[in-house]
Amino acid sequence: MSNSIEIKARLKGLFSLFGLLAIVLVSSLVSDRFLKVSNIITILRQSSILLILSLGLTGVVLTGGIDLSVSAIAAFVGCTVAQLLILGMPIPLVVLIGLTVGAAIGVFNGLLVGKLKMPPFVATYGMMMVVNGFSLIMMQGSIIYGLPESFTWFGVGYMGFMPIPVILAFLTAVFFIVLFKKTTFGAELYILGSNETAAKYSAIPVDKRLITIYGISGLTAGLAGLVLTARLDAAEVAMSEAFGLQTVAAVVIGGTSLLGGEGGAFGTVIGALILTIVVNIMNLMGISSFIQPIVIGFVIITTVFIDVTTKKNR
Amino acid sequence: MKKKTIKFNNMPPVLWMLAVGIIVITVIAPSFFAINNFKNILIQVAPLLIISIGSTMVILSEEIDLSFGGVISLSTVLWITFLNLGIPMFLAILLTLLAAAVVGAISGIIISKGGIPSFIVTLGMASITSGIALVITQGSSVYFSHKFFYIFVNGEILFFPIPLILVSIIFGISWLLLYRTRFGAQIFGLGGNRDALSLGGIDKSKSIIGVFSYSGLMAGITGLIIASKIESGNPTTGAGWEFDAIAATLIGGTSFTEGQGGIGGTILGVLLLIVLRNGLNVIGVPPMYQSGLIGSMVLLAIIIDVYVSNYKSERVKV
Repeated sequence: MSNSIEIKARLKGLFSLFGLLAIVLVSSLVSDRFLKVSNIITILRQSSILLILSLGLTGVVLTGGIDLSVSAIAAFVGCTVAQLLILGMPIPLVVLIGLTVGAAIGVFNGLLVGKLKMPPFVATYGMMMVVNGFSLIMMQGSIIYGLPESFTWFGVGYMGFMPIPVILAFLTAVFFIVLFKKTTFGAELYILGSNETAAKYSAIPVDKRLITIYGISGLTAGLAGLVLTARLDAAEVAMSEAFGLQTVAAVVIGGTSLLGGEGGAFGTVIGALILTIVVNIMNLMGISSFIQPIVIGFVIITTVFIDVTTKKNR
Repeated sequence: MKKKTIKFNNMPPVLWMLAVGIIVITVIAPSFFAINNFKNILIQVAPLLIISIGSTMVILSEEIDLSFGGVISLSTVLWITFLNLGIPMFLAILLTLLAAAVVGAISGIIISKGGIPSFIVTLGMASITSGIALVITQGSSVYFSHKFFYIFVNGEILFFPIPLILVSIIFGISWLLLYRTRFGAQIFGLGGNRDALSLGGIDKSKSIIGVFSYSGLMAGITGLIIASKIESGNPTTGAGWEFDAIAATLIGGTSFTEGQGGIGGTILGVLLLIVLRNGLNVIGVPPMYQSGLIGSMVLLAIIIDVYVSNYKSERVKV
């Protein structure tokens, strides 16, 4: 019995991988430039920020929660970092402050969810509005640009032929795959997501784990904000707005269940790639960008619908 | 005896927050405390209260609707577009409200039949509806001019502003629906004990679809008021309203658990939000600072409310 469940879970992981392969196949038929190395690297680079954001979110979703504030945190960190850089603060210090700010906001989310038992979507949605409000106050409607070159290197630089954001996203992905699959902390996240009462009785400090994972989600959001600012060579309040729902979409397409306890970081890598390719192709085919929110909303609802109905049948 | 203490305990903290807010603002800026300004506040209350009534009914049934912003934007765009197509005013209003209610119904169907968490369905629906509004307008605003707009927002009947009359009627209907009909009892039942509801042979999905259609309708009406105010349809004008509506509901003492609360408390929640916003304006705080300040205060109010009710429920357990 438990074997068949495991097999089904694995099949589901393979399902999104097949999805990716199918999309790659169709895309290479539609455009012969698609499978060129340069284009593949472009797609990897385009997906890197979405991936970093979605990886932290994946951990939260594994616990059965959600973090709707990640893109707002990314923008806030981006704006903070840009302001500090303009003041001439040394880059390592600025990066450290940016990551700390992101993690701190995440920990605050974790306190609301873990200690106060607020529903995660209320806590993080409220946090999103508050953080956006503070970004507005900090920027006063302005755009900051012209950042130091040694900072923008994080966004536009290369190591060999690999863009730095891709390397950062790859390292983040490896970190999360190991964290979820090879550590006790990761195993506890899965238990928390599948059965919180069981987690309590097996002496897992639920609130502490929640605070940690929301903190980590804030941290990756901060990292994404840094990379995004470096790549744009600019910062403004709405800089990461488009990522808001895309992160949730990437996670659920990757096979992580919104009900918690199922999925993982590798799936999210595939999810982010699928989403980026789809958006990329829509751009290549000249489909109006206004349709994108419709497609993403539709994809999220359908994917979760399939997930929930297959779970019921078990 | 026991009943009385429970009632006292349930008094929402929003009352003293409102009192403190009014006193502080009046001390800083005495011009706040004027009849003209109170009339202003009452008019501003109308659209937010209508949407918050919808939000309250959804939350009472232990669900959530995050699609208000998108539905409001879509309603403004649809209405103006219908009018531009030459459809008569009355019919255009009817069609717009029908569309808004249908969007709600679709959410309700997916939530109840599919068993999908409502926040994800309505979040997706928010994206879809605002996307449709963007596609219709190609990203800009659509305009139409008609004297109805001005009358709808600024008109008075026997010294009563029309938006205020409208919101009073809607509140009355909603109150009757909630407290005097089977539908209302089912809403409270959904929030209280869903299994008992099924055992009683009640079709849960019908009530859920009903609640979401109603909240969609409320979003549509709010869209009409906003479109009349800006005399145009705009694909992003509704952004953020869902947060205000949910905030007003939670601050007003309605909670996600056990069907606690009601639309009466929501009036106070809406008043608090509008008083804060109006107060910051009167004091002269630049708009740039307001969303951050109000957002923080709202989150703080929700945290206090959750903290207080957690504390109470822990005491009950002991």
